[in-house]
Amino acid sequence: MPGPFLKWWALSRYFSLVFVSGLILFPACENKEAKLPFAGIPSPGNNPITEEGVAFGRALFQSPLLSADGKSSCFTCHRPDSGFSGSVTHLNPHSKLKREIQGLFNLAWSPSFFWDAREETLESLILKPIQSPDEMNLALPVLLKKVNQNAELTQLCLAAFQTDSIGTVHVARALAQFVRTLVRQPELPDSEGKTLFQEHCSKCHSGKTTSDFQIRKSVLAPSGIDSGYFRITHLPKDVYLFRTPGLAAVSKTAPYTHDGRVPDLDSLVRMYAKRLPAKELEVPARRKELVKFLHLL
Amino acid sequence: MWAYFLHLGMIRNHFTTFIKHGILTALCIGLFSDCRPDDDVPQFVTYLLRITHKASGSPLVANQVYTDSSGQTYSVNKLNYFISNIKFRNKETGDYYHEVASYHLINALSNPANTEIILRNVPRKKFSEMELSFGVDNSANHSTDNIGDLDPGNGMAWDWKTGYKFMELEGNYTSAGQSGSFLYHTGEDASYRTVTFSFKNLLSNDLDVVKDGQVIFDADIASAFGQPNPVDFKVLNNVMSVSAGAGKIADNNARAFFKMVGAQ
Repeated sequence: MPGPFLKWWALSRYFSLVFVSGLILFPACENKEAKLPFAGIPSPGNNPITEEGVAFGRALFQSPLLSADGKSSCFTCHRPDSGFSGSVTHLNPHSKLKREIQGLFNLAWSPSFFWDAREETLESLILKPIQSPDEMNLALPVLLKKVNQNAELTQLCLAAFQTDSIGTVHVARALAQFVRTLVRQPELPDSEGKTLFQEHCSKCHSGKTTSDFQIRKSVLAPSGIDSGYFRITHLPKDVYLFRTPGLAAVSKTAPYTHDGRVPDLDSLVRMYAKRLPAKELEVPARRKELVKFLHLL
Repeated sequence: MWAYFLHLGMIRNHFTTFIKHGILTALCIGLFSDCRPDDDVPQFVTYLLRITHKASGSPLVANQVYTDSSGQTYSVNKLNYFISNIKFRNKETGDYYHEVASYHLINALSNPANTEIILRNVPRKKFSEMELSFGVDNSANHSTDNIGDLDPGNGMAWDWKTGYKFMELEGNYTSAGQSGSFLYHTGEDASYRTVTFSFKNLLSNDLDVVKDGQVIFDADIASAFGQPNPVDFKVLNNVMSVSAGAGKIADNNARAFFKMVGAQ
């Protein structure tokens, strides 16, 4: 066999082998990526999202064992059909809670939590409503005793964290994992409402999460004694600063603003329109288009 | 020909046996000699850090009344605090010990058993000073996703923000005829304090770590009300943040809360 031909033959065999193996391996890798259900959702290094962790978190989220009276679960106030939000102040003026219950979509991208941005991590935040006397009112040692007596929960913990002895850290991490998987970021077609949103709202309600999650002075008139971020820092410059909420499923999270003073989206847009420099949104037809777009978020 | 192959096979067998024996010998040498120094003394020892709580010079007892340096009387019903980042250091040789994951919750009144801290793997060296901090450093203070003494179930996580209370000190006072209760909760990065104790001041020499030993501290809580920021109970009696004065209490404690009284 002549030398150049042998070289050509070897090279062609080599490249065909590479090509064929690529055909086999590349789609396999692609499939693997596509199969990862939580790919693209950020999570801290010590609490990566796993299917087992989410399953445990979901079970905790819907368990009434997390409340002192055994009657309410996280779902009681964060209802799936309401964008994982609920209403307290608007519907029940006698409630101890003075701030509206926020929706839970897209929190994986948020650097702070609660209306006054006082919590820095989901794992830290998630234990607070459980312990709050005004909410689930359950001390952590009691919580651990209750959940450790539940065989289903201990088995889910075993699958998620390789131990069937549920600790505070497991409750916090599992709940945080579940909440991080609540993602709603629809790709919406161009429309007049979308253009209006981008022109007038997206400076603060920006990106796929429809919020930059920064704290800023509300454009609404102050109400009551809620001084916002000032309650945390006690710095005069922080009076009446609140965290900008995302708008995912906003049509289902009424009433609006931190104190729930605005009953519906049209009223909300009208309220903002009065305070924006451009008067475009004071035209009812245009406002209607914007509200139509907000319903799609 | 067959003899040649038989010969090769024997060489190979001998060679394999030789290698096996060699590995076994090396393992034995490694197991029985390498892990021990020549004098058969362990390289590391265990030290106990013992804390005796006091109030104005007397043993601290819950709800017992004491008198501070300004003549105010006070009693204590809660004293919980964090000690962290315990270190031994030799400033001349550079020899150094830093306890791994060094966070200790001390419940002075509710759980006297944990007023002792076990320091493991202290190297057999000479140390000129000891360092510890009051509070939780900022690497652990911006999430409560922690275990052990930092577990939020231990009741030291703030309920109004992320992070830990560094100290809970609560009780009652009488000052210039006026009585009431006080509550000092320090916390936030700005009230984290680090203090150093010289072994030379106590022992006139370095601490020579040769075997298991202990370091003993007196912890007199009257420090919280003393210098450099004397507390008038009538004026400052409710502190739950740096902005409300937690830094002043932290400075007072950094100055005089712990006093090293023994090391051996």
